[in-house]
Amino acid sequence: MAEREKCGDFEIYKDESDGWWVVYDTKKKKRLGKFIDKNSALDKVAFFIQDEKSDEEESEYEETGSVC
Amino acid sequence: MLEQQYINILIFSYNGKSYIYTPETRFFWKISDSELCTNKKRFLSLKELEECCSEKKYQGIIEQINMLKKRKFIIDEKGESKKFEKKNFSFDYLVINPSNECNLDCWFCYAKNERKKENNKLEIEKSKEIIRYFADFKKKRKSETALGISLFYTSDVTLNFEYFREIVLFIEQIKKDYSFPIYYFLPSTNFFSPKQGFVDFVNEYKFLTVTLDSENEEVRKKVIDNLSKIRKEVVKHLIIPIHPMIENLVSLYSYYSKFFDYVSLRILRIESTHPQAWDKRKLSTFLKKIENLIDYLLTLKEKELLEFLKKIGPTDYILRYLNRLLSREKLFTRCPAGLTAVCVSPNSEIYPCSSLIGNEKYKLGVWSKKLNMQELDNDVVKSVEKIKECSSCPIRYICGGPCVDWKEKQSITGNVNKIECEINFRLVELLIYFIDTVNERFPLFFNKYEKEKKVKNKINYSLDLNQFVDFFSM
Ligand code: SF4
Repeated sequence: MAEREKCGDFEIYKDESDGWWVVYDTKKKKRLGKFIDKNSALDKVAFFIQDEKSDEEESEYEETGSVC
Repeated sequence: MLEQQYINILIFSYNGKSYIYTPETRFFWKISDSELCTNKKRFLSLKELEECCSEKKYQGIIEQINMLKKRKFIIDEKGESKKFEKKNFSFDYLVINPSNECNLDCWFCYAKNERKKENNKLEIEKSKEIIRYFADFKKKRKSETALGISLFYTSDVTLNFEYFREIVLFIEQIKKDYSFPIYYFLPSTNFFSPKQGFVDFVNEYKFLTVTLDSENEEVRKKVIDNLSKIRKEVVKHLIIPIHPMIENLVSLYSYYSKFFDYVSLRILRIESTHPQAWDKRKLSTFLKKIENLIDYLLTLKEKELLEFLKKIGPTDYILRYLNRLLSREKLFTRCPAGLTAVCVSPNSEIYPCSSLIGNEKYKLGVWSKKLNMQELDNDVVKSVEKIKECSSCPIRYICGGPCVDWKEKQSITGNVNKIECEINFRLVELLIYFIDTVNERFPLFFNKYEKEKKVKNKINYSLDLNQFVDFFSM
């Protein structure tokens, strides 16, 4: 197994058995995918880091607020 | 050569560490001190950055930023980003203020001026009609979002609790007529002289929010005494309005968390004529207090720090900034006032926010059975993209723009309130420093925090820019 390269919660490494690149989430302890080249693996990590899914607009509102 | 010129990057140093923060994607990184020429400005556009980093020794950072752009960690705000869209017009929050009475006279009360006027009271049947009207409008609009209703923001609910209870029963009855959820929430109280009926209700409701003038000794004692009437299992949340000359923030959190499950500090919007009013000198004293708080937090061990943050409440001004930085959420507006929230005054007048009641400039209409809801459409609260100063501000999507009521209180006619901007900038800087320092010391801290506070932790990347760029370089 090649040396793992790490960025925050994410790791990539080359699976020597087939030469593909693996993206691994160390927090979720989950393999996120296997890619034919390193650039695609890095794109995948960038995609996960950028994840906009939970970017729903949220704005300040005081449920229990009061003006006094 | 940096190609796009629209991106403003926040650059700052604190306690010997330097950082950059990029607005559109809300990423931040630590950089080595010597890496960036800051031109002594708080933030730079890419063009300015390039000009000031033209010396050979800065070429490394220019290359790093180009890589961040290539992989879209920094994006061009004019073209690539998600923009604010006003939702289908209808309301999700309705606050009815049937009266302005109060049993206390807190100096900072936002309803103080209104209280001096002749006190009308909104009849209960009228309140019910208003609730029906707003709910029916949502139904006609085929709105699927929930309708949250509360009462008595400009008065203390304990004084008219029977009124509140009757509205609660009314809401329970009408719920079945709508496909979207309708819920009520108990407003904050001063809890100075709660009657048994209120106490019983809270013990069932299992949540109590108290707003306290922490410097009023008599009130403080009485409120703490009154807590003995509340069952242990009730979640107790305390809001303390804070002014620029408030005592040490750490002791406020520490002292009151002995009595309450959560403590939220809220920065006060003070009339410019008041002796406590914000000014430059008081602002710098206040910012020092926030620095002291951050420095104190960084002396704590991992477990102590988590315990301390666990006790900070959901409406705390500082904690909200921390959570926004961690979740990298994108805030387009400061608050929903007038956009998805409206309030009604004791005179049946409709305003975007209870704090603005009585200011004719912001009156949206007067409720009647013939009210055309379209008349309430307004742009009192604008998206940060529509406010000149905010549209190029690097922290706009964390700040959300100025508070309209605060500007009014400070008698500001311009677009933004510099006092508010200064506080928000400093908070962003100090909290970025805080997140990075905690991350270095306790790498799993924010994962634990995420679980405890139910806040998404999207700081799942390396905060060290050199490491980050190395990882992504082929
Ligand atoms: S209010 Fe001030 S700090 Fe907030 S986005 Fe506007 S300019 Fe920036």
